[in-house]
Amino acid sequence: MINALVAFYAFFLNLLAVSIGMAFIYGVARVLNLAHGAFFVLGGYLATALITRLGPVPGALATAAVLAALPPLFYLYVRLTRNELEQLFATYALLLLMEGLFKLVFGYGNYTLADLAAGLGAASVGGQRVPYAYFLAGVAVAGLMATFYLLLYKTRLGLYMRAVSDDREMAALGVRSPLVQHLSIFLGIFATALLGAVAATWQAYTLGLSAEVLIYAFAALVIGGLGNIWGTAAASALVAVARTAVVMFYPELELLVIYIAVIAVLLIRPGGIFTRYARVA
Amino acid sequence: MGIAFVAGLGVGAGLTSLMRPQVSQLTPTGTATLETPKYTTVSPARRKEVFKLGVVTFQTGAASIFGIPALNAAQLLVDQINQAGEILGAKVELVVRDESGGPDKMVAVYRELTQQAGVDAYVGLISSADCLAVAPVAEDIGTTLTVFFDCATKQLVDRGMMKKVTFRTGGTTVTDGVALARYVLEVMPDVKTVVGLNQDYAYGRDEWADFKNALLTMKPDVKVLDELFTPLFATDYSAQISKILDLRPDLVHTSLWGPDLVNFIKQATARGLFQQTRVAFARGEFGLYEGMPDDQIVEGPHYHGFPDPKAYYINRDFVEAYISRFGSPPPYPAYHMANAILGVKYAFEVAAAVENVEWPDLSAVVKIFERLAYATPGDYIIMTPNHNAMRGAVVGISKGGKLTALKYMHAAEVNPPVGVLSDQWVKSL
Amino acid sequence: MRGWLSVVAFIGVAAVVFAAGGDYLKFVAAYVMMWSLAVWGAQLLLRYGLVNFGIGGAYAVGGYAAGLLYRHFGIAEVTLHILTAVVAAGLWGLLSGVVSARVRGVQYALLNLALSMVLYSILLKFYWATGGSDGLYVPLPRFFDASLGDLGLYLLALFFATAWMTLGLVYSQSAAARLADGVRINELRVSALGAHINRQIAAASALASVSAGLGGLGVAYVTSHVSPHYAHWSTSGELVVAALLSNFLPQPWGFVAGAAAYQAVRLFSLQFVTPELFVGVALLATLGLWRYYRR
Repeated sequence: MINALVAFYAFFLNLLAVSIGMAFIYGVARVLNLAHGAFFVLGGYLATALITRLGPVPGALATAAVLAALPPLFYLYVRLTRNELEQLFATYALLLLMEGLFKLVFGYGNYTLADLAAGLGAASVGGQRVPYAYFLAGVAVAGLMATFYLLLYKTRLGLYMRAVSDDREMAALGVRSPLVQHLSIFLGIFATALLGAVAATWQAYTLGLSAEVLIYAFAALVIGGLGNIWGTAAASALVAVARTAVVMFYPELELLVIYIAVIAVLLIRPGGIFTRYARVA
Repeated sequence: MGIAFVAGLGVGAGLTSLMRPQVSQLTPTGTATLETPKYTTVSPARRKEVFKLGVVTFQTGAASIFGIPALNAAQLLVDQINQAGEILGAKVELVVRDESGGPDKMVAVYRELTQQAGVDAYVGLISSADCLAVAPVAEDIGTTLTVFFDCATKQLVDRGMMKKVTFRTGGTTVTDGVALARYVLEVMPDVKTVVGLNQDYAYGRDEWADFKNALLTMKPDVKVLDELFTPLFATDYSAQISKILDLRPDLVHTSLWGPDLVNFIKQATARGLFQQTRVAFARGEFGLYEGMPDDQIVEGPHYHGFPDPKAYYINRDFVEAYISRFGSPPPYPAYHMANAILGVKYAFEVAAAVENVEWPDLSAVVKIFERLAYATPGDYIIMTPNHNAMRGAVVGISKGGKLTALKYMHAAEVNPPVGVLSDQWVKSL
Repeated sequence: MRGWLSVVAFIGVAAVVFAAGGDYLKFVAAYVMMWSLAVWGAQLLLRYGLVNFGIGGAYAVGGYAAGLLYRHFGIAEVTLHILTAVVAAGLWGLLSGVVSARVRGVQYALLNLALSMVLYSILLKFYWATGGSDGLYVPLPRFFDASLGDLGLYLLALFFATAWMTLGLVYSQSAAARLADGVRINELRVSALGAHINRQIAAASALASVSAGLGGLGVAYVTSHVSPHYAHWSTSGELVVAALLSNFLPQPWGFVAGAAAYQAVRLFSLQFVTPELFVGVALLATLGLWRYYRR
């Protein structure tokens, strides 16, 4: 039982990490970013490369510094496109460009901080070994979620973000919608790359993973509904439960489970499970 | 304006292709079946200046972890060959293509290399699906020696897909499975329960099926507690690890590779799986370099420690040259590539010597290659009339990132004889 | 060049390519012409403003029609293959269209992606029937008793491409095309004018899937192989990108040119150390060029 819980927890954290940034980028700013996975992977690559070279604290700071420089670049890039189809095209090209750059800069090996994380030791929970790194990662992600909560529900900017995510044109009556959207792009990209860095403590990064990550991110976002990050978090939890249950009881379905979840949700509640007003476009 | 542009493209391309030398077509005489191919040569054998060697392997994507060492070995060998006398006086030139894009792109690349670039030999393909797509096309076109160096599907042999110009200089999933099963029974004679954890596609299923069938045939009282198949490039193995921790088998078999192997090893180590269960890694050499704990069983088609470089100079030279140029010992894809390239070289040279010409034609090369046995850095390769190599496998125990207690399973112990279907042979062990 | 003249010119170009080109060029031309049918399907849905990341499902259905008929029944007859591909892909398109017509935007893209990935997983898992990830061998088709051969296959590809050009011409003059543009621009207004939008989308989805299915069948013929990779979302992604490229070019021949441009770039990129970088730069350059021309 403990093992099943640990499995659920780990996969939930994984899904949450990849999809939270997407909630801001698509949920608020409605930017279709096909290169989302590439930013996640970039965070992981950078964190691994810098931390192994510079040590944990300087490496982490260096990573954060580099990651902070990314959002403006992406923002400027996206501003060049005029409609959703051009965005699709341009971000697809960006995904390819980034994958190519990964090969040139990082090479073909596996990058992971899991060894560093393992060095932290493990706790014994109910007779099973649970690494401290898992708890630490949970704390980091929870901290980020708390920050987002404070931002979205306790600040003006957050209010504007929620309004713009709900109905952009109506919000424009009082809110500078474009500015809010630009800021959420910044936030989303930074959060994604940062979470990619955090995820390096349990997963390995190599060429070709950017595209896989993208599908999971979009799935969690769409299942939860585009309106809020709690929806995305709840969707991640739901999919994690489904996948853990499937592996425990009927493992042959594992390949299909996320797609079946997407189809089921989009058939029954197209707006997502956790939206109040179903807006399907 | 646009239509003129497109028309110009078409005409221009057509004209430039007219200016390229046509690859000499070998027309088969005889019946339309593939049983007894007879060839008539069109152009007389003449000394060539350049031997174009086409190499197709993964340079991008997750499988580049195999492809790039293979490409490294290709470059190393080509330089060595060119320094040591070339192939029949022709300087070897590598023409490299990436193996990405799926089987239909690989068919296009094959045609490009053989019909457009005019390569003298084609060495390639790690993915089984790509091999299975290219083999019929290679046989159909029939103009170029085609050597698969790494793909492990037994269908190429069981379906008789390599009859004319196609060869494979490596073993199959049967080789891996039977070698691993034999070794497991040697070091764990009392094994009672086993769980399979493999990727959910043909390679993973084949590796598991061959291992399971071999193990159950040789020791019928072993119980298979579960067969887990995971999606390719799933980054999180916590659910599978949880299930294995709950089931407590004596042995876990896995053929995971690439990031999946790394993720599994790291996550399993963190959860303490290796304290509880022993894991047998098929083709698991790369796990050694990514923190595999000690005392695990690892099988590989090759390992740089076998044959012992201190005793076998061909391997010693290869390993030293590879380390000095690329910084780390050659993994098994490098050996696979060496097997293929050396096979091509020797086949051409022996055919020229036997036919007593300056440059042999393809039918002579094929006839020689079918029965060629040659020494390689990883011991030797024996080619058989079904165009597949009789290869052994190296199995050992992991210790400190290296493989110890090495045992070499001989080819006849781990491969079916020519003409016997793989599954039939495994059941008869 | 518009209209029927461009269709005739295209046939002329294809004839020149066959007569003067080497084996590889003929192969690429046939491959592109067959693949362009699937691009046409993706483009049709783009006209409605729908980005379909699951069109690989129909594409795979067409290819597997030939592969499965040959593997289990030994049938290599081209007319039977085409019939099966059309019916199966049409059914697939109708069903997926009906199911996904109720959503738009990214939900539509993702729903279709999920449907095609379910098909992909089925093709992968039931390997004893479908050949699994290894795929199936697809023989050169036969027309009644004669094997089609290189010329026959090229003519088939040319016939398909030309037929679809004509179809595109006819379609663009039709009411359905007006409706499609209307749905893309302002769906609410069009439905207020009395159109049954979901039905239209389902029908368009069926037509697009038939195109994609025949495209998949054709590509399977030309490469002699079909694999579950046809249904993977990355294949759909390539089709969508090629369709977006084709949107830059005038119809009716734009979809063939877009398909040719994409495949040329993709095949050319395989000789570089990082093919993706090359393709990414090429795509961006195309976007830049188009923006410059349209400025």
